[in-house]
Order: sequence, then structure tokens, then C-alpha cells
Amino acid sequence: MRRIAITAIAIARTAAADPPLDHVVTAPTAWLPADGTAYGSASLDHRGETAIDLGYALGGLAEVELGADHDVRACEPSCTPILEERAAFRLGAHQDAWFAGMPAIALGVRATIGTPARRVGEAYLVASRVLAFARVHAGVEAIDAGDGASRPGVVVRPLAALELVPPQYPKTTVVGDIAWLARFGGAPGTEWIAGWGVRYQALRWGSIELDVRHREGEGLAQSTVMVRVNGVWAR
Amino acid sequence: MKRRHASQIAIVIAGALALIPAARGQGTPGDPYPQPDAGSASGSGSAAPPAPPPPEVAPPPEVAPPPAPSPPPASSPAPSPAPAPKPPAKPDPKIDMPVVLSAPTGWLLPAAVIYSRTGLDTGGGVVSDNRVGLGDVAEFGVSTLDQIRDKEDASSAADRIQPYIAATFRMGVAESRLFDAQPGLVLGFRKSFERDDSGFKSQIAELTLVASKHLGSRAAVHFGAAFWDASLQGEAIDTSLHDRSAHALSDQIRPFGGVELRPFERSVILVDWSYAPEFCYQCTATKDQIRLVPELAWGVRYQVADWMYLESGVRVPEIQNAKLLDAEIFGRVIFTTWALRHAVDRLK
Repeated sequence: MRRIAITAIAIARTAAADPPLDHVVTAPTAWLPADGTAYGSASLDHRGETAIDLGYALGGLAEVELGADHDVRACEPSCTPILEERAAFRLGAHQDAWFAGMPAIALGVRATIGTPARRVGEAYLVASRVLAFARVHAGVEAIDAGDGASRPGVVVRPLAALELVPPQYPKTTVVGDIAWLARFGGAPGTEWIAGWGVRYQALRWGSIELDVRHREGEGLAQSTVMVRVNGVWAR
Repeated sequence: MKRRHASQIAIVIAGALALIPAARGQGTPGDPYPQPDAGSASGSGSAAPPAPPPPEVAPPPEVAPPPAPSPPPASSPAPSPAPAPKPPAKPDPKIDMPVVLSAPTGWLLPAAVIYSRTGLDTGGGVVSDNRVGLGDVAEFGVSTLDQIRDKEDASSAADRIQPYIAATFRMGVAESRLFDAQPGLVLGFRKSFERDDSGFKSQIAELTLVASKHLGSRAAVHFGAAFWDASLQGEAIDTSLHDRSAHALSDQIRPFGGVELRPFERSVILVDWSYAPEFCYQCTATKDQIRLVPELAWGVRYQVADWMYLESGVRVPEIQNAKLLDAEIFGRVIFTTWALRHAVDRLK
């Protein structure tokens, strides 16, 4: 028991500076980039759907993002992705900021830019912690989707993610997550999306990842394979 | 032998006299703006320091002119010193902002300091707020508001009326001016120009009294009350918030407030609560034609430079309904400048 406790403390104390990326595959992390850091990511999947995300860290405790993606779908009954332009704001605290062993926490809000008929507002609270070679993320997300006058209201869903950095391959990260997204078609609702893949830190400032995503109600054959590149530029 | 000794003493005294103006030109430690010294022959100087200056202030070897190949005779004038380097600009004091995110603060801009805030949000809102401090006791500004909303009927979604231009005048007393622990107190008045939108004319006015207090160096709180008025005219509507047949006096009074936390020197977390008028053009109940709706905002202000700040955050209108769908992410840039103040000071 004592050995377990000592190991747990040792693991908790291995946490270094927060890794910079604010997402795993779909789920957000609580990592906040250092003061003045800018980052960007762009992805392309085998169906030709794209996503781009640009962010800037404010004062080491917040981050503002602008982006566009095809994550949300409209199913009537066949599903088609919807291009959604979004902005996000995250406010949080780094690991160990308030006490030793504290996970990083972040409160984020994402909103659709403009006033299109189909809009999504999301708020999430997520905690992240480096535990030895693993990074664990868990949180809850409130999703409010509206399609014209149809507004079913806020739905709360969990989110979880895991990143593993094998000690033998420090530039490689195995990633996996589950999160919920809004889905249109009829009354707006939500659907789960699970993702897994590998990220390779090819450059000091850049990484590339190959991910697979599965959605609720889809067979394995409809899974999406995507490539994403990430860049982080510290001031 | 005696004459040679006297000559050496005279050379040393002459050298020391030559060093005095150069040493004065170095200024007082920590005082980048040396005060003019009337008694100084060179015209540059500094106020006498209360304590003996540390040795690094004016080390004679650093400021002394290069040794002449042959020392001048004692009766000859001292060599003129090298021109003193220009003192570094004195940093301007920090400015306590007149607005949290939406709610006004009990802090006024310093005299002749200009403040400009421009922002965008995801709902298409544009805000521009430009102010100038007047004599450390007042402030004048002109702004475009992004908080005034309208909607067709009670069930429809509210939309912004833009641009909505208003002028602001605020006057008050700085923090701790009258007595220790006195909060900053500001009485403000904001009035819009008449705005014609979809055939309806509207106008707003707001009288605020707000108190702001620093709690240590890393926190501050703001609390105030606003007395609102608004009018709406068009088609069959002619109503105002001060129309007692439609609204009670309490419909015009609303509290507001905010909190500032500074975890890092250049970063401030801001949270505020405020109200803004909302007009309803097709509402049949007169009481619903003009309403004050609450708004919650939170965000961060980051000081990029002494004169520039970036502000970003989230604003949720109609927070009482918890409509996450209407949440807006905003980004703003704030510029402040003491240039006018310095120009005025130079004229004095």
C-alpha cells in the first residue's frame, strides 16, 4: 500500500509544463498554451472534409480560437456534414497551479460565428493531468443546438480522452477519446463520436497525426480516416 | 617643491570641478526625469537625493573626459563635459479601466489620457468606445453600443440594433482620495442618439452610480446601480420606461457589478453582470415592449504593451434563460495613450 502511495506521488510529481494542444481527437483538453503562444491545426479526411483551427494564448490563463470544421452533421435521413465557422474562448489553470497534484482545468465556450439557421453553442469543463507517460482528460459538456425556431435546449454529456507517450518513443503519442456533438435533422440532438490515432512530433513546433473516427449510428465501414497537422509557435 | 605640490592640488581641484556638472547630469537613481537645477551652470541636473547616492550613480571614471595629454594650468577654465545621455522615458502609471467588460467601473481615466476600445463578436456585434479623462475628476466619451437588442415578438430571437451611438459623461472621486479605504466613486450618464430601425424609433439613457475598490494588488470589485430610461415609437407604439402606466419605478432600477482578479502581472480575469434594454416591436403588452435583460460576461484582459491590451471572453445575453446558443465570443483591442497628457504638461 505504501509502495502504491509513493508511486502515485512520484507519478503526480512528474507533471511538467502543460502540453500545448487543446484537443485530443475531438475532445478538448484543459491544456492552456503559454503566454503569447499561437497555434494552428488543419485536417483533411478521406471524404474530403476539412477543418482548420487557429488559436492564441492570452496571458497564460486563457485562449481564443477561430476555426471552421465539418464535425456537425445533418441527418435527413442520410447524413451530410455541415460547415460550421466557430469561435471559442477558454479560461483555466495549469497543472499544480493551486496545489500539488492539481489537474489542469479549463472552462471553454464555443459558439457559431454569425446567425445561421443551424447554430451550436457549447460549454465544457474539462480536467487534464499528466500521469507518468499518460495524459488523462475528463469532463462534461453542455450542448445547445438550434435549427431555426427549433431549440430543444441544453443537453449535458460527458467527455473523456487518453493520450499515451511510450517512453521508448517520446515523439509519438497514441490518442483516443469520446465526446458528443450536436446533430441536426428533425429536432436537433446529439451523437457520440469516438476517435483514436497516433500523433508524431515531427518537428519541435509541429506534429502530424493520423486518426480514425467512429460515429453513433454508423457501421465500421463508415468510419472516417483523417490526417491532421498541428503547429505551435511560442513567442 | 612646495610650488609643485600646490600645482598638483590645483589640478586635482580643477578636475573635480569639471566633473561636477557631468555627475549632476547622471540624475538621481530611479528618477529618470531629473529636475532642472537653477544653480547648475550646465542647465541640467536633478533634485538633491535625500540619501547619499550609491557609488554607481556617478562614478567619476565613467563620466570624466578622457585625460588630456598635458594637464591645463590651474587658472584655465575646466574642459566642458561630454553631453549627458538622454534620460530614459519615465514609464506612465497603470490605468484603471473605466469598464470591466460591459459594466462601468468606479475608476476614471487620468486627466488627458485617451482610451479607445474596439471589438467584434461572433454575433456580428461591433463596439467602439472612445474616451478622454478630464482633470482627474471626469471623463467624456462617445461609443457605439452592441448591447441594445430588438425582436419582432415575444417568441422570436432578439437581434442587435447597430450602430447605436451614445455619448457618456462620468464624474467622480478617485479611490482613497477622501479617506483611506474609500472606494472610487463615479456618477455616470450615458445617452444615445435616436435610432430608427425597421420603422421604429428608439432611444436609451442610463444614470449610474458605481463604487470600485482594489482588494490588495491582485483583486478588485465593482458594484453599482443604474437608473434606466428608454423610449420606443413607431406604428401603434409610443411607450417609454418612465411611463408609469406601463412600468413601475423598480423596472428602471437595476444593479450591476464585476470582479477583477490578477493572477499574473499582465493578465486580468474579468467577470461582470449588467443589464441592457431590449425592444419588442410586435409585443402587445406595453410592459414587454421595453425590457431590461441581464447579461453575464467573463473574459481575460492581457496587456500586450504599456499602451495596448487584448481582451477576449464570453458574453451570455438573457442569462436568466441560460441560452447557451446565444453566447457570444468577443475579441477586443484597447489602446490607451498619455501623449495628450504629456503634450499638456509640456505646455505648462
